[in-house]
Amino acid sequence: MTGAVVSRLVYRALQRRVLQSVLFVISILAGVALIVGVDVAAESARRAFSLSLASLQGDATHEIVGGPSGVPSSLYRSLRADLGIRTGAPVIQDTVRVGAAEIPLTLLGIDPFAEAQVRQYLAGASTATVPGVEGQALLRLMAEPDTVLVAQSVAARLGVEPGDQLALRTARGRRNVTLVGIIHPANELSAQALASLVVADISTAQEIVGSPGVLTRIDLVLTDAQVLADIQGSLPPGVVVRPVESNRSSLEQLSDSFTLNLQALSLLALIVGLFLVYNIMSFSVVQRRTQIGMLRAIGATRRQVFAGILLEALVLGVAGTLLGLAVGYVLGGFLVGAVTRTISDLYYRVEVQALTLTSLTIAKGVFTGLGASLAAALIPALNATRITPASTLRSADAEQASRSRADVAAVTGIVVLGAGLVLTQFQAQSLLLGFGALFLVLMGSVLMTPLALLLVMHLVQPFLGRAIGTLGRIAPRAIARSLSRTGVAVAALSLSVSVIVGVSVMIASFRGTVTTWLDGALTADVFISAPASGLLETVNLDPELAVQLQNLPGVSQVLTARDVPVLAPDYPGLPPVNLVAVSDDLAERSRRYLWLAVPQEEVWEAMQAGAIIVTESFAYRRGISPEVNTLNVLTDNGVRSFPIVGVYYHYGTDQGIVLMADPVYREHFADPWVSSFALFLTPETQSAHVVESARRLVADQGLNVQSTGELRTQVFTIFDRAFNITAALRSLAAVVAFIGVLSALMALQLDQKRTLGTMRALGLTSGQLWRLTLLETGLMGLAAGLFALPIGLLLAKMLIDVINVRAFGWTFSFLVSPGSLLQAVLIALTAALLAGAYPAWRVAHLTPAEAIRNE
Amino acid sequence: MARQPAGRRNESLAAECFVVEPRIPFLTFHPQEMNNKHNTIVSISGISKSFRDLGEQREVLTDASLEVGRGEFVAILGSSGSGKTTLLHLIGGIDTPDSGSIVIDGTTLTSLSDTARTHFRRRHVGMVFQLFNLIPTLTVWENILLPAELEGSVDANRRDYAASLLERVGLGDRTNTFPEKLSGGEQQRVAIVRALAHEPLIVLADEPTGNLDAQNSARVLSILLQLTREAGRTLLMATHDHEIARQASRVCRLHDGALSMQPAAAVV
Repeated sequence: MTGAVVSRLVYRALQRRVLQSVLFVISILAGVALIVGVDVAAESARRAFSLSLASLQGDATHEIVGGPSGVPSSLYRSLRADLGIRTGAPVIQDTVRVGAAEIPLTLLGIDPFAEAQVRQYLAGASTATVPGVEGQALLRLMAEPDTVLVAQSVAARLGVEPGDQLALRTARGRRNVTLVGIIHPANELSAQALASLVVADISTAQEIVGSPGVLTRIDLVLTDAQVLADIQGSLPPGVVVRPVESNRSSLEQLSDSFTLNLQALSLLALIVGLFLVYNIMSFSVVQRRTQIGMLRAIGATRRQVFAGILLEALVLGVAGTLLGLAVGYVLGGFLVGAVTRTISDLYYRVEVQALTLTSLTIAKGVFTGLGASLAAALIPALNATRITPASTLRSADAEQASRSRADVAAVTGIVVLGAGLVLTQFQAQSLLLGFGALFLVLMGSVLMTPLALLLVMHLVQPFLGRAIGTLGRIAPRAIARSLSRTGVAVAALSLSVSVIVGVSVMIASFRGTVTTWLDGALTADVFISAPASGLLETVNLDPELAVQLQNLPGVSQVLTARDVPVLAPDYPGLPPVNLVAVSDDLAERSRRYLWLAVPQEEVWEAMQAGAIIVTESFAYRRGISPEVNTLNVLTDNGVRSFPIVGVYYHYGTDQGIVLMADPVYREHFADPWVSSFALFLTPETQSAHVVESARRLVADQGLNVQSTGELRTQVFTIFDRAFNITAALRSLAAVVAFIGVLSALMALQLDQKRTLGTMRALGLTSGQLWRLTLLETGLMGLAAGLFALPIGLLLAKMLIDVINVRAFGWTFSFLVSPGSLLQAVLIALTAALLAGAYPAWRVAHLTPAEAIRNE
Repeated sequence: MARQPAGRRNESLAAECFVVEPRIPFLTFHPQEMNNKHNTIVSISGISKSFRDLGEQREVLTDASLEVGRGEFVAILGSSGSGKTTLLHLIGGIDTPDSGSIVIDGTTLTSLSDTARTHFRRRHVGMVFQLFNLIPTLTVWENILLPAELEGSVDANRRDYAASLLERVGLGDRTNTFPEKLSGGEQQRVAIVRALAHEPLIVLADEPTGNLDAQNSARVLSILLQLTREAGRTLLMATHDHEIARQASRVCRLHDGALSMQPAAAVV
């Protein structure tokens, strides 16, 4: 038998089973589309962030940075004058909210003369007040105060043109500037880099952010190690020079855990798809036993039969993968908004100008799509090779064989599940290994499903027989009899619903834990802070504001918090430390600690004496324990070591927080600013009144004034938004499972065609047939829902105890509500009944004569 | 008796159906009784049926007419693909003709809805198939009682009658056995009991021995004829086996979609 014959047979097989082929393609399409979609969204966000970092860093190889109070301008002058450094550029960088819509953009203060050495996009771009009159805009930028440049795309977004006034708002107040020119980027990369920038001269920028004489950093292009050593030797305490690459990579990994979680969830959809493909291919082989036996009789080798089945899977896999790539790209466009919103909420501000489809994403899609197609077809193809020329095995015998395979699958499942559980004990910090363990546990559980289905159908059959009669006996027996198809369909549905249960319980547990945490953490009555702008941006508020707030009627006490990123030299690969200095402890008594080195009532006292406490996720990422209990921080006085007296539970950020007493902070950092205020009110005062008067007070700075209730609502809005995409992926996995059940039921119906036709011939009405099919479907859905409960709870336990700890360093309580479990069972039942509706309709319209004749 | 349009091939076929020399005593049948409406249980008039096969319309039955008397055994003889099965399916109401009418015991089957036809079928028609067609998920006993159960008419009498039939075919001890555990001959015996257990007006048997060896064929045929005779049921049997056809009271031959008569002596 030549390759041409095999190809012809494959072509005919596909032609004859159009519906099965379509379902195969859809299964792969859905899995690949989800993987590619999530990857496109995550990669686009990552690339946008990377570009924005690149645009700010330009060609710099190193940067000189200081603590929260920045780098003195005098240092830049002395580098040029004393060390003769010419390849350096001073930078002011801050977030400003622009225009009436208060669009957050990055203000970049530069020295246009020095800039060409570091950032080429500006030098290479035409900066013109009017196109063609180049150079004029840059001159005005340097010569005139309160002038700025923006890229064409930003001008279009703001609806402004050269000569127009722009209102810039910082936490220190509002300032009007004049747009003196438009930057026309030289290329697409520059265009993306400039898409969120407002460029000003360094002195204008210093005035806007209210920090005269201070730079955010000095960017350097260094190739000579000696020059680097010279610079290091000339730096004052609290200022360091460091390579930009390490900083960039540590920042880029901020959201890695979040995106990895999304990618893992999208992989689940492919696994469900894998089950479906296996189901479809198995059925296809069962259907063709006679034909394969005949082929073997006339000389086809086992290898040719094997190749034929795999070729069939490959053809369909290629179609599904190609369509999946296209649909995935479109899906990525829908998902990117949600992904960037969450990343902006939790980590850093990012705006995606264009979707990124990398060759790695395409490779992932192709590999998973084709890999899944071939892997799922492997066992059916091997089964096909076992068909002998003399084989007279009927479908019933094949089913008998599949029943014995259910035993083997269950035993294998126990082993795989055990291996998964054992794996959780190794490499306690590896997230990838955690996901590996999770998938093993899921696969192990699912492998036990067919045997469990067999047992459940055996148990319910007498009861249903008595309650419903003949149809009640037939339905569970038909499910048990066609185990090769029903078992896989129920497994796929169980897997999908268990993901729903697992993720729902995990989210509910997390939400419950956060609720309890907020009860303890939000002890003040009113909170005042700048609008959320991510982990990397520092907000400078005038501490004088605390005095004005204290004078508001009804306010009994005002506490301040200073929230700044600082450098911890012992952890160069990790992002900067999020240090929060508080003027008094808001929640000393109500805070829950993982461990404490001092009595709880003495924590604040210890902090005032110079100790710090850190959050659980901070400690987890840095291996801090009662034994490893100091943290070295770069202060304005140089590197200082702080004793850690406790680790507490905190769910505000997965990057962790270091809590320090404000007097200790001021002792080590020459930083006059504060970041937020917490107001305690007198007992008789209503918070709404204070909120109102505080809002009037800080109206110019655009600060958020929130009561405890409002802040709590905002926290949960962000929380829910972060899990929106998870919920969407969870639903998509359910859709894939729905297709699986549909495909299994169609196959089952095809398999039972003669039996159903006979029953119609013997007097079963179409209505009864409709009920029988829905009864079978309902039983399968109910069984899948029930099986999904223990699997889902196990999944939730692992997500909480393994994945969340490894990804975010959080531990939280395991909270299960019976309502959500009932909901999961109902979802499975509904999905199965909906999937069963079409096959039931088809069966009900089956002409008995046709069904019998086709046999 | 149905009248045929002039110029059609099967003119007055029913009238011309002949009496085969009775080889089995109960099958004695007199053609003049055909004119007695009370004795006619199946009346087929001018039915045609075609199927679409690979895009082409293929006519399986053309203007066929036939009348069958109560208690009669009519063999429908024809080669494979001649339309025997289609004719039985139409009589059993599991398929509908493109044109013409079928009346069974005064009920015009062709004017009934699908549901009404199904109800009629489960009360009044028994079917035996070439491939036995037992429901694999039901035991022998459940298979036998299936039509009555679907009708909701299972009572003690029905059970006793079914049990007695099962005893008669020698499978009284296999009530709880599933079909896949039975041999072909045993399965067909169960199918015969199933076709008779709800006491139908007519029994339709489609090549009931077509999938059995010679020994089992003889036994199954003997049981089928004996049980239908004793119960006074009308039997229409499709077969391509001339030996079997010669045991019928009348033989109708199907060829190229047309029903034609053949003398018993010609059934060789």
